Amino acid sequence: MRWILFIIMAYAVLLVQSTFGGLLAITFRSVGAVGPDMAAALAVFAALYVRSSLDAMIAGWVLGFFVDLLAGGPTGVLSPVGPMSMSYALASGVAFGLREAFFRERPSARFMLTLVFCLIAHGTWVTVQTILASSVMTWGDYGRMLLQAGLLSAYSALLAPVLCVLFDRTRGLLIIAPSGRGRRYR
Amino acid sequence: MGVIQTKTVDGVIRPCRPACISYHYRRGFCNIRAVNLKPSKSRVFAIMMIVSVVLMMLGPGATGSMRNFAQMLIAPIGDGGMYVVSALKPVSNSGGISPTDALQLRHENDQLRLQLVEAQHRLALQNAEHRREMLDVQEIRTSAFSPREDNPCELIPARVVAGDALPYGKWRVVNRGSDDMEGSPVLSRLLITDRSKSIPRNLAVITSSALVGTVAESGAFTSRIQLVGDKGFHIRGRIIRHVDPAKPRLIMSNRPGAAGVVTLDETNNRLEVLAHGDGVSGLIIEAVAECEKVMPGDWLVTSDAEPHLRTEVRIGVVQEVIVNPADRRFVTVKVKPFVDPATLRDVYIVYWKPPL
Repeated sequence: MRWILFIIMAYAVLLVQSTFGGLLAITFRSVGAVGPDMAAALAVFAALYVRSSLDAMIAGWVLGFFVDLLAGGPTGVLSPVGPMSMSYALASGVAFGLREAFFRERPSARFMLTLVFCLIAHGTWVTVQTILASSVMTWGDYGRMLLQAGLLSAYSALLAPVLCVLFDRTRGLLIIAPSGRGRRYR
Repeated sequence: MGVIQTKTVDGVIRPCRPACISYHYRRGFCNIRAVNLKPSKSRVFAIMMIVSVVLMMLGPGATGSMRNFAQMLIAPIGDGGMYVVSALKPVSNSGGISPTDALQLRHENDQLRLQLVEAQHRLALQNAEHRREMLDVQEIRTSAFSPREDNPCELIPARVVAGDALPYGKWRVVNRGSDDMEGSPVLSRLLITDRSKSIPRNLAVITSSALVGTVAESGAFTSRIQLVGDKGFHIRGRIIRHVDPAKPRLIMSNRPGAAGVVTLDETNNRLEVLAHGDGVSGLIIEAVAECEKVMPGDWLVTSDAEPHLRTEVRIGVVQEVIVNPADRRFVTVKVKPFVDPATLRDVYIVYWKPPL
């Protein structure tokens, strides 16, 4: 993995998510807004093609850290930095472990892995935020946010195959092709 | 990650490329040893996780400068993106109406147009009658209140450059038939300012006509604002009940010397309240006495008691008044903000300076 290029790409994705994310968001009356998590798609893309699980988890951590810095928080007060980076790292590890079960070039594989990734990352994040802000959060709020996270995961998963097509064009720059036997997994 | 070094027969240690390691082994004229000069990936990852845990334990206050740095990176390019978004959002939100609704609306419009003509005729007559009285009143007011001082505040121009990275901020509700826009995040917005130093927290942020929110955190050139609809937003406000001579409201007054049931007029139509964002559709004012007769259409404005905005600036309009089922003496008031976050672009941060 070329980390400098990856960080630049993460910046670009987060920039698009922070500005244009609102255009793609859908609002449900009972749940709230559901927008795509493009950073998750990039994390899944990295998990699909990096050489080791540690690379995948570090990539996930970097993306999660950016998201943490640019997100306000769901509880009405600024959320602490840290939970999303850990959640992303965890989810990236899981996605890396699952990738052998799929044909990674197929849109269905990217859909499934992004769905799993987002469910793990956002479910964990929502839970941690609820615990940290337990004085102002209710069980109702928690349930609604979990539902929101589920819908967000589905939406992000639907969008992930499209985004991954764009990311594919940068794969040669981002991922160092393995030499020798490792080449066959490409 | 390590660097392979070879020790040649003459005792010189030099870096060795992995390709020649086996060659050196076969020849047997060097000793090979691996020296770890870089930390391993697992160590790096462990440090990252520890950093996450520590930052999480320290809370949001400890990471203010990091957030500001990230916001500064986003701000210059995000400005263009938000320009496009604020231009396109109203278009993407505009829904159509059915032919039946269109017919009904056209019929209502015709009726309203007729009523408007009649009302304009009556108004013209009343205007002529009141003109003389108004001139008298104006003369009295001029002598009583002028010259009036300007508000002692500095307006710092700012521009919205980004929203939240995650959509977990509370969002507004679709309200068909009104000018509500769906899909607009309420939680926070990132601003770019012309100030190289951070701006104090809790300063009010306004548009040219209404309150937007308050400064939640700030750094050099950027600030994050908490919008009025956010769950964590609290403000001391004032409800201005509209006086309609055609429909007089009887309210319970507790003013000294005028206690009891009185008719609402210009002298007693202001009601001090504490409002907070409901995170869904705007603001909520809880535990308002039912006898105050707050009604939809009344305005919520800022109060003089608010230290950062000691003047009356519009916040929103009362949309719904719900009687508390547990205690019918109190009502909950729902307020719809005047500001639409979806199209929010140019704002002002109010830096209140008390007169010296």
